[in-house]
Amino acid sequence: MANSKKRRKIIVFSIIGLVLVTLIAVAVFKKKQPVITVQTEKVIRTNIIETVVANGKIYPVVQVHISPEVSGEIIELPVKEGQRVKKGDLLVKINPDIYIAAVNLAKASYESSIAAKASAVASLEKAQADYDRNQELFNQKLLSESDFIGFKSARDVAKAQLDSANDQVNVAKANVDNAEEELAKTTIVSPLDGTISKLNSQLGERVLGTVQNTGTDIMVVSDLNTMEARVDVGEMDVVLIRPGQNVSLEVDSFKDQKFTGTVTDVASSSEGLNSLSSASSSTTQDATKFEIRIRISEKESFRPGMSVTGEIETRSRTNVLAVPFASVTARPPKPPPKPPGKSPKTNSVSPASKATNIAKAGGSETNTVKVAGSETNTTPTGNGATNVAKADKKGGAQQKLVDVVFVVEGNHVKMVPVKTGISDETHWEIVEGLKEGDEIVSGGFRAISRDLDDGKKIRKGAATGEEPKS
Amino acid sequence: MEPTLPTPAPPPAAPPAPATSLAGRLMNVLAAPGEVFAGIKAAPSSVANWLVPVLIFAVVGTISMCIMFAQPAIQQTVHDQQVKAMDKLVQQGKITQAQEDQALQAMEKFAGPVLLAVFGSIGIVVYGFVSIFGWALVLWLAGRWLLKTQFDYLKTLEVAGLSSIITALGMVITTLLAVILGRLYAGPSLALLVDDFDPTNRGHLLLGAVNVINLWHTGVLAVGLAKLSGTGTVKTATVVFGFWVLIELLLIGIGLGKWAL
Repeated sequence: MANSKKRRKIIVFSIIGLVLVTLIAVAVFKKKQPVITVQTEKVIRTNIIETVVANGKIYPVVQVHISPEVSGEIIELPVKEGQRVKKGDLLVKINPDIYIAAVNLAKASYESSIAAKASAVASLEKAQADYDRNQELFNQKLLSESDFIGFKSARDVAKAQLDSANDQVNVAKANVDNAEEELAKTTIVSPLDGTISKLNSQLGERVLGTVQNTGTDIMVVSDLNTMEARVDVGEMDVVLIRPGQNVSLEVDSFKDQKFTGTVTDVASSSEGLNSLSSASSSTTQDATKFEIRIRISEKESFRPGMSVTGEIETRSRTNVLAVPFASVTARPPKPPPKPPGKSPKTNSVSPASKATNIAKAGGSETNTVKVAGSETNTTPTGNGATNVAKADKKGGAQQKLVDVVFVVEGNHVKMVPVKTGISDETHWEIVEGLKEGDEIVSGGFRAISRDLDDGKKIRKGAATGEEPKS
Repeated sequence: MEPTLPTPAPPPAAPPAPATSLAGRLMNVLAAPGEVFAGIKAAPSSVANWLVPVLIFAVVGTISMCIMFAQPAIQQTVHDQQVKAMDKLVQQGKITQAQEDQALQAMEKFAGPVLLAVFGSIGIVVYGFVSIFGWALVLWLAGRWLLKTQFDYLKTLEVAGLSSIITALGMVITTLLAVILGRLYAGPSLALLVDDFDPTNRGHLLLGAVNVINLWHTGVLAVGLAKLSGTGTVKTATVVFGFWVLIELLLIGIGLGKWAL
């Protein structure tokens, strides 16, 4: 009896001891999976407006560079920079002396040619009279033929001389007109109502005309009532921009105000493409830029050259599924599950696997990617280079990263590939892969971009990085 | 007159059983509770028989709370429960979304794992004392009213106290399971079969109530009542288990099911 009681006690205590030891051993030696702290949000429906941000400067839409057609010294400059002028107002007067002399000379030549014409007329009259008189005599056979021909020729010569004199008069007249035209060009008036936005020359300066040269740029007259922003966008963004798109503008000088505008022109070729040094510029590292012109809707005291930043609304979507910008990251796609019994463990890159392995530089770390039963070890490079080893036996393109989002399932996450659409500053449009109300990981940055993977344990809270292992 | 035979001398009295130490009683209640409670009945009342086990329960419970609320998975479970409760209040219109956000931020800031462990420990200690005094009262009343026997309340207190060592052992097992599984409600019960245990789900609570340790504890109490009252164990088991089932169903029914676990 006592023995059976004792035996019973031993059995009970043994069972209790065994249970406790087993549980303690499991708790201590269980593989500790790190718990990652994340922030979460729900997938929502919202409107998304995609914008392209570009910087540039403000210029007048209408801007005229005033250059003289004739050369000379500036003797009158009755305007100054910033002055408003009306169409027809005097801007510049160039010394007209030589041009006045040229006009006088031309006029004198013209007078002379008129006198020469009068002389030719008189000569023709005389020659015609002689011809008529001698023709009568020739008809009465009172004059020899040779003498008659002489009078006839004299008349023809007189006629020709008169014609030449007429031409000379015309030439002289044209010269007079030309000289007067040149003289008129010494006075330059404003071609439009505007403002002298830039004055390059001073009184007394000698300027070159544009007839045989590029001409001196004396001043610029601009219509400041209608201004445009000229901004530069990169080649990746320019394909999204079309005339007519709305733009929000911020001018550095008017920080508290917002302006609006409309795209009026998109450059067909990049800036600097046709420069003389295009061959050398193609080897430089400058980004390819295209100029976009934006008509500013509001009237404000803008000045040419002011800096402006424009947000061009390129595309928009209404009431679409959206996730926070930081939620989307790129990862290699999950390999398809292999049938059991294939691909035993190897220490070389498995030829049947389509996984992409990334070796860390320096040879101190290796990543292993498990592919449905086969384990593949990467080899460290040892030389500091990062290489991507392709495991596909058939060869070909490396595996493309796919956009993924981490969906919260209890205290784990599931990596879900998604198809994204457009984005704005805060959200990505989700075209495929999620539904409204799904809870997804929206932060921290390191967790999403690096630490999280399919099935990993998470904890919701403020982003503090990796939690102590559980 | 016939000579009378001499009266045989009475057999010498059996020597009294040696008194078991307190440690012995605490260990033996796990394997041979009947023996322990028979000794309790015969021996004079001792405060140590109930005070020491309840103190052991309090210490073990405090350590368990500290370990459990240090687990990130359990902290996450508590946080999720708080969020769920607040969401319900918002849906009912009792608070606004902004108030909920503020409250959750305050909870995260001020009601961290340390505070949870502190309050949990206090709760466990209080529960320990309430439990043994409560069970002692139940056993005493059951003896008086149902079994029509008389015995001291202090004796039932000793029985309830010594039995609580089983719940202390259960606390250790529950803590180890919580650490292994990363779940808050991870006692040795049918609730282990449920992946996503919901303490507001009555079905889940019923499964959680079917706990090996609870059943063992209740059985030992029934043995104690049987020894004190001198009645059969089957009868006392019916009374004690019947009371336990009623209490569990009542707590689950009125929405205090977590306390039933």
